[in-house]
Amino acid sequence: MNIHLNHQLTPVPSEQATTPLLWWLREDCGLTGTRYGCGEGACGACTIHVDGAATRACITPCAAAAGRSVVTIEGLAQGGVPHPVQQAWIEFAVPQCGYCQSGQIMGAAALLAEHPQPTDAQIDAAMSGHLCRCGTYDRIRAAIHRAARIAAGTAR
Amino acid sequence: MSASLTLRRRALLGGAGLTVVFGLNGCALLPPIPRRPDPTLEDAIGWIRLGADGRCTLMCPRMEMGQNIQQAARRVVARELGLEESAVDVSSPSTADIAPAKATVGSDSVRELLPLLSAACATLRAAQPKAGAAAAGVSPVAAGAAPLEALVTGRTRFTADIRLPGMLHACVLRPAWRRELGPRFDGVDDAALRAAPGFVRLLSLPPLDGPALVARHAGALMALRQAAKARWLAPAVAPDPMQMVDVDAALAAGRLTKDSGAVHDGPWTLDLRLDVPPAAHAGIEPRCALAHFEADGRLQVWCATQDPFFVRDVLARDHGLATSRVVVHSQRLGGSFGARTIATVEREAAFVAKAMGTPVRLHWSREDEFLGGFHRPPASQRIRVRLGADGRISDWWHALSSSHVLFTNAATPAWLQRVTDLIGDDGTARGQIPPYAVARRRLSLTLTRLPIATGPWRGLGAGPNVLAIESAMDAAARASGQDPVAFRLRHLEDAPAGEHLRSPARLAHVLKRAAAQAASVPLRTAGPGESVGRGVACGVYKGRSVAAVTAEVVISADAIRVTRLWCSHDCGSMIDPSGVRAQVEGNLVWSIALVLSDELAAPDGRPSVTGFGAYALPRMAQMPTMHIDLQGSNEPSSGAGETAIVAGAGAIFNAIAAASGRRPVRLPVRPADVTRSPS
Repeated sequence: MNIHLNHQLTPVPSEQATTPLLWWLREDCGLTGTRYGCGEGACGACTIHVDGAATRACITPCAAAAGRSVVTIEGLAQGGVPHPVQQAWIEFAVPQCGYCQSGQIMGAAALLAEHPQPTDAQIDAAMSGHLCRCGTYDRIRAAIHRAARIAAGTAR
Repeated sequence: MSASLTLRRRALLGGAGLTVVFGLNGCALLPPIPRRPDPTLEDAIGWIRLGADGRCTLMCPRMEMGQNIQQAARRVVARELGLEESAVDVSSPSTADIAPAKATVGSDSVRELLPLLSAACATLRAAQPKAGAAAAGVSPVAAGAAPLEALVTGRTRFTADIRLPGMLHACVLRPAWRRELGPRFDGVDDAALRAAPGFVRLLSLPPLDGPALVARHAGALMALRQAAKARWLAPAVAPDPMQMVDVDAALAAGRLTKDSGAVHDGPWTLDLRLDVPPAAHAGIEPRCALAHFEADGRLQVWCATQDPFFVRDVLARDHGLATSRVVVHSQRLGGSFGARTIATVEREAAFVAKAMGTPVRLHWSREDEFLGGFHRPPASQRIRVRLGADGRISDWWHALSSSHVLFTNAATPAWLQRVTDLIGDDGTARGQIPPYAVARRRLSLTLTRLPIATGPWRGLGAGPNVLAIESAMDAAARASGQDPVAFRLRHLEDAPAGEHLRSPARLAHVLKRAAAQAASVPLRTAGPGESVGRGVACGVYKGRSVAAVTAEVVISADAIRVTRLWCSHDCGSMIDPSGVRAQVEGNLVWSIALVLSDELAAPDGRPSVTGFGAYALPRMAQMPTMHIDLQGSNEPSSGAGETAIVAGAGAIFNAIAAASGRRPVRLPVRPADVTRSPS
């Protein structure tokens, strides 16, 4: 079984087939930017992209991603250039404690891939499954709009 | 008990709460008491290392948990040493690196730490005039960009990201009830457990709450826990903590832990009750610790705690080691809000590591967070107000019935709880002194030990207590036909200044601003089936920082939604205004949570919710438009981490009362509480 992990074909041992992707990524691949928060897909801290779709790694077994593309927070930037969402996150100093932010960023990047100019309602729908106890939501919303402008090349 | 125990109390610098210092002779049962030494200039100089390359490293004794204290400290050091901010590296020191330091609590870091840091830099600069001079040529990276870049690319390390060679993974199969209640372990599915992949051992370690499960792989632990199907027999007595704090029952029985002041007898203009349930901190990072006993017996621990030296001392006691033989390596905290003030997961990791003879990583599950942590205590409050013929408050009686937060039952043995029960708890009572001038005032406090563990929480008692005060002020204004803002200002004009409120004028100032800014925006138009209202509240946190909020809410049959918040905030001069703003934003979200969602019911003496799927927290779709007005006064810096919640929650609550015409008697407020017609 293989997974295209951050654009590299990566073998997955067969005994890991039922292990949630979260633990394979963190413990076997050393990609610790994907965080454990709840183990039931309810907080979004473990969000990754599977074939581009925001996916909760804590409840998705490795076998479900066999032969597919998996991108984690470590693989989001391409060619050494931060993703527009990451750029906007830095510009607006979004994170407080930062623990949920990998998942927030992956959720926001998937949203922008689907809706390049998201409305507030689309942001609400895509991001309401991402909990942040520090309360960074206001900056997250602003940063998503900003990232949309960066991606469209209309950012000042 | 043979040990002689002497007890003395001292108020801490700036009212940071009470520290009880225990002098004792040979009492091994005594828990270490959190250390609160005030740092000296010599200590502060020891935090700073000047490199030959023109860079400087600061070992920041306050822990980073999202309040951005490392950036504030970096800015001070850079300014004082004449360096670019990017030339100052900030690290979290281990307990072996620096002299014992105070816990990171109470929004005190900027006020207490940074002046000392400035003085230390000045001393170093005088001793080494060239310090910092080599900074030329350092690229002017934007302040704090490097830590932010690490956070948004997943490179920032949290405790669970640390690996030690040969380490095993563990969890504790804990009961849903606290150990003091006497739940009894009734076994596991041994065959299933031993057959499950990754199983190493099931340990019985008496100091822990239940058997410890050891696994080879972190990913195997969840499946192993399920396979184990640990069984527990319920304790005989496990009452509902909410009922135990019923303020009317406490008053009827005359059961008061503390009582001060006096009011006149007679009918009251207002008599309001407000019940606040227990609630979970719900930081997104579950606690984690790694422990390793070296061959020479020294214990190394990696963890994210607000109080590394306390953790060190607890572990030293647990294992009979000198404190110098225990090293706690502090990591960034993934949220805390008061939850990481005692030793929990660290003790578990160390006991398992000792038993296994290998390094161990113990990462709590979300269920562990709900069952193994402590919680905001429930509070039941009654405020009675009498207005005189002049429309001013003549008598004010605030009775508060709750449980302990400083002398938490999560870290204090039962016998010592009985001693501390006589003292009261300034954490529970924080914010209970109203800022307003009233002719006669009585403050009553009842503390009851509860079946659930209770302890510190963002702002301690200040959030719920000031909410109750501000609700009563609002109701008193409306009952006498006075404008709620003007009514408050009348009672601030000649309010006495004191420890509880250094400057009534600053409080009045932010109140006027929050009111004026909201007044410039027309009230939202109510849609079909909706009602709209605005409310105001203001408050002071720990005597210094002040905030005022106007809130607008929309109520429909199935939702209460906060649509706008205007917050004016004054925490003195600001070192990192963006960081202060972030703290205000967070406090406003916590205000929404306090009024509309925070609740961890425990009707049979144990948390009724053990996962995020069923626990209500504020989400993106509930976010209002926030207008934040930072008043940068020239007063010395005070805290911003827990200030705005004292105004935000009351404003939202009063807006709900304005929109619905009903004043709720319990939190969280649900639509049915204010929309259903009275029966």
